[in-house]
Amino acid sequence: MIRRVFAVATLTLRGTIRSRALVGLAVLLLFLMIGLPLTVKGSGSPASDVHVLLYYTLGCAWVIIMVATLFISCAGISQDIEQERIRLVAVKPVRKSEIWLGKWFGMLTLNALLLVIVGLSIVGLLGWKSRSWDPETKTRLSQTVLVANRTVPPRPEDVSDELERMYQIELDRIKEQGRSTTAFQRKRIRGSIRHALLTAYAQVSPGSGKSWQIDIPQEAKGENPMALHINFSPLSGEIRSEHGSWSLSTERGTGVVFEDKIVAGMGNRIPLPDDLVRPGATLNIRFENAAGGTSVVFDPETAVELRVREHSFAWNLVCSLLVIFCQLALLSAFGLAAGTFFSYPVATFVATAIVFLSMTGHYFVVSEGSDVLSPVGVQPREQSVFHAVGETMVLGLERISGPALRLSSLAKLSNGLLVSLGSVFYAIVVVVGYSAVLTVISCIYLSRRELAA
Amino acid sequence: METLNAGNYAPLMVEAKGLVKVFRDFWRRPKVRAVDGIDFNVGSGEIVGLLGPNGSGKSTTIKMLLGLLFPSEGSVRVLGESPQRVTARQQIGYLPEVSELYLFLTPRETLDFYGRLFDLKPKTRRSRIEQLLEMVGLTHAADRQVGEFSMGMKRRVGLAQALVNDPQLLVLDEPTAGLDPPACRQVKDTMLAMVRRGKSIVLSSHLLADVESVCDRLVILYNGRIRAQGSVKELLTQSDRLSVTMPALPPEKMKSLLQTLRDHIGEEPQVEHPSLDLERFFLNVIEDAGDSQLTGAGHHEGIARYLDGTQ
Repeated sequence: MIRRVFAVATLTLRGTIRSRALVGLAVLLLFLMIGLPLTVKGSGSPASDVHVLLYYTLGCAWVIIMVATLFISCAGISQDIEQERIRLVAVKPVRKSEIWLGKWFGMLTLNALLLVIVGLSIVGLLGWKSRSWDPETKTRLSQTVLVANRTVPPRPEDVSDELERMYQIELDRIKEQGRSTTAFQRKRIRGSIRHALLTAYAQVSPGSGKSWQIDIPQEAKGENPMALHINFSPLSGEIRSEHGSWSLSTERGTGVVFEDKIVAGMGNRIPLPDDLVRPGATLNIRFENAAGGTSVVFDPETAVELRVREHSFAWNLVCSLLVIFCQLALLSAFGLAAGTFFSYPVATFVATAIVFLSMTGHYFVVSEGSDVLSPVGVQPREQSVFHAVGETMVLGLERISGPALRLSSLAKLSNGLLVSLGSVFYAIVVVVGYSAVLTVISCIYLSRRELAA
Repeated sequence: METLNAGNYAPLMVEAKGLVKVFRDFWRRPKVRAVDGIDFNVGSGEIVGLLGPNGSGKSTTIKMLLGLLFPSEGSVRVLGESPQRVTARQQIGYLPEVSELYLFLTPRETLDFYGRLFDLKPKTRRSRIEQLLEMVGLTHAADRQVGEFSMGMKRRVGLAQALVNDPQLLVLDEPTAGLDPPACRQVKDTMLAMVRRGKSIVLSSHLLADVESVCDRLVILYNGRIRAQGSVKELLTQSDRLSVTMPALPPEKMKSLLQTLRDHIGEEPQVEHPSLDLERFFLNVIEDAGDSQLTGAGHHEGIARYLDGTQ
């Protein structure tokens, strides 16, 4: 079986490599890898340049490879059937599953080749850029962006009692308006209230303060430098401005007052003093807003976090490319499945539409869920059958395929955050699971389908 | 698997019973009854020709033999098994009506790919590929992409891939379509050589001369039904007529002979000089022109090597 799968995989790879499509794709990728960093400018700092390279360039390359993968995989089986080449293969002692898997493995090899090219290009471009960086810049980048930092969030705020109270009030209000809610909408309402509560708690008015507690991980080691990341916004006035004072302490009483400037409206990185960083200790962070100033708001999830160096940038890049590879593998399986059921143009349309809806359906549903939270007195829209069916379909699609297609590692990579082995493993599990289902369904259909007219 | 076939006990390569194929439209409504209850067998070591005009059901029948189409009714067994089974397909070689090959592959890569699907060992595969390329006269173009080939050359690649597994049953759909006369002769020689080695062939064609010159038995289809079936000799012999071939006689002796014949049969006998068929005449001309490659001198060596190699 393996030999036959390998034969079909080699054929698929050979066919793609010798086609003009791949040449066009390679030229486009090359143009993008070189051209985009030259045309898209960040703030001009080296960190910004690296961010552009990692997020936008790699992101665009990912999108191009994704679209190409979908189109090529849709053609994999459908064009063999339409152009009747499948007849010569199907009369040989080869199972339909071997044909399907061979095509899939061929696509995987192609994706791996393209990602290796993209990865090497990124490394080459970073190497080329780094020639103009001074040692201090190199050190700073190796601690901020070109690194794999694990984030440790502060202990969560306990808002459960207040959340339940406000949730009941909101449900009663909706009921009074004579409207019904779906389970998803109720979930969205609860989420929105929770977010609003956390935001309210995260708002610090002049003259008051706010504290966070972060548990330093047990496995944190001295050779892995730690830093605190702080990000907040003023409610009014100049965005990039200083507000109040910050201090740090541990439960043993040792503490320091920040001497560095902590500026609103941008990410602040505060390297932690060695004497404060003890594995297992609790780090207390206190902010006192200056009297007579303006209120500031802290994002409930990302305002304050501890970052611990976990791995090198190379590790992060490889893990990130592995996650992208998994996504592409899933898209290949999806395209092949679509091509098994439909002709090439139809398969391409269906696959593209489903992938688009799966990746963006979440946003449609979020806006739909928030519609329930319309203010008192505003006449709510009646939900038609068409509306309900559409919502159910988008929700179903989003739930089935969304988690698989929304695997993303680029934001983390470009911010120096760890793309963990866990996320790679999760991506692999998702790909294997979903692909197995697609393979079984496609093979059953293919074996029952007449391959000649 | 021993079944009565054409008056002899012989293992059956193909056994079709009550075969029906109805094509349906999108709404599953019957559209065309392409094959309408046909029964026929193919024994070991014989060439059976499926004859009929376009749309008579030949290709549909062949596709059902190969498992590419599923019968609406009836059953078909190939080498004693359903053609859907992988083991049955291990012994089948197929040349479709149009050789839809992977145009980006070279003939050598094409044969290697199909050889891999048969799980042939690398050594066997390599030697067989060289024999087949020599047999079909494509050694010189073995590393050019098939997309650059003429229709005839593609046909040769198609024939070579049909033989890559040294099949027990060869199914050829219009094998000489698009080929020049020497290549047609090569195909027919290959068929005859295969049959001498005990292989069976199902040949579909509407070229009557081709079928007549190689087939042992004929199945004539029209509108999806069998209209005549039997050995070529049985079907074509006019048992109430007789032709005699003899050296040409001087006019006086001929006149006397004709008079004697007239007295015995009571009608005017037809007298004419026998003639070569056009294909034989054309090949003689080419042979005289000394182009051994075109006429298949190399081809005959190739067949011999292929057959030796596969024994």
